[in-house]
Amino acid sequence: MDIPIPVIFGKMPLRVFYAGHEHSIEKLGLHHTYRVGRTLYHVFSVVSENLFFRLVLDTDNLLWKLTEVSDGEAN
Amino acid sequence: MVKPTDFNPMPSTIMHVDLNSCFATIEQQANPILRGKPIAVAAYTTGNGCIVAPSVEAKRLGIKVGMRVKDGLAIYPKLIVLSPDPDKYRFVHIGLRKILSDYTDKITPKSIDEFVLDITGLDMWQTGREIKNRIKKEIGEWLTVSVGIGPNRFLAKTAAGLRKPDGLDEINISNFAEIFMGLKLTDLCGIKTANANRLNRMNIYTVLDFYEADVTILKSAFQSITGYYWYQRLHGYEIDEVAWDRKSFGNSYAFYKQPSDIADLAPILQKLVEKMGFRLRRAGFSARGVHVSLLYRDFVYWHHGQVGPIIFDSRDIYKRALQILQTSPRLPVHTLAVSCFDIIKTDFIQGSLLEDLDKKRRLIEAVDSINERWGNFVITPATMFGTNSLVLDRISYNVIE
Repeated sequence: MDIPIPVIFGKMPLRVFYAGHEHSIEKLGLHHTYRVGRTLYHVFSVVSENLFFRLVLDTDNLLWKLTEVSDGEAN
Repeated sequence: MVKPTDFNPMPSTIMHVDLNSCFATIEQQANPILRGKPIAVAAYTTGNGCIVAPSVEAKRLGIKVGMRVKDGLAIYPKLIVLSPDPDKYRFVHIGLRKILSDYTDKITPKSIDEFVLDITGLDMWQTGREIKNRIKKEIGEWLTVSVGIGPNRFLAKTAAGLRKPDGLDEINISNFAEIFMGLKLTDLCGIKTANANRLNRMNIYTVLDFYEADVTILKSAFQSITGYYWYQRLHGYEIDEVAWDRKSFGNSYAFYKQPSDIADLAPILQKLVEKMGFRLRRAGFSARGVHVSLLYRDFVYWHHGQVGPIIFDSRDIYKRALQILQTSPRLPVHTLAVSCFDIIKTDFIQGSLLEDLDKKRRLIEAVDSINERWGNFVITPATMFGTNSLVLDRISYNVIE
């Protein structure tokens, strides 16, 4: 999964618009970074009331992408 | 009768810090919905994928490192299986290292999830508790470490294994006999069935027997200097403070559909060589030897190495690796691995009369710097075409780059 996603953020993502709904972020699990070449990516692992989102901010173009979403249950 | 006078009487100075169920705990830190649930990180999430890190909850159900995903699911059908996320684990490793380096500059990462610290002069227990709290506060509240304290590295590691997760224990002159009494020989790191059998042949059946055995008996048991090393370890003296130089670089790939044709194996070999060559050069090395190994579908192992002129260009490494691969039996391959050995620092390479090594080096450096700038091997040999989604980034437990 690698889809552009609208995100409202302050120091961390606050609200995510996904599947036609607005999800308020309740908790930040982990914020980590990595690089591809010299491009720095910030990864925010966050949860709303019942969904987990892995949101990646590309610091070159400031676009957010959703790379993972799950409800924490087995596939 | 235990002889405490033989034990190192000096106070403990070594601390061993071990992040519990490393990859799985980090995944639970990142995703709070997974906390308290049996999860496993596996090399591949398909049935035959190998579980590399079960969570504490999964371990309690009997799910172990090395199990197939399908076996883990047979134990607990609701097991959540995740792919590894190496960047996440490296980030946490760096965070841990940063915290620990506030206490000493004598810090050795033993693996992605284990560190050894020499904190002579500090209050060991207070430091241990402070480190645990800081990890929770500064990296993540779900992360727990087991901390072991001892007069040498071996006993500190043993102490770290006494209580998992979240332990803090010390082995010293006043409690070693009691702790040794509660351990089996195979609980000791480095003693598994074969070594236990060697000790049993000398009438050594318990850790206390092992401690009390004369050094000559231990030398006979192991038929080498190893017996003396064990004597020193168990008596609290340091003999493991050795910095091993890197001896080789290697990469491997496990196939989902096991190919046997060279035409199918070659692109993967090329990609493995590109990754390995890049790491070799970035670390400032060149190599004389190239080694290829194959694990076939029936788990028969084949390998061959070749030593020749010094090389650093991935194209040269690939040529030699391909020559070796072509001599292997054509059977379905489960795992392909390539490594280069007999490595030397590039600064010491003598020039060749037959080719312009400097010109070649400049070209390779230019290609490497473009790949480093733009990432994901933007300049690659054409033979690697179609391998983008294969040979993913993986993280080793014992090598941190």
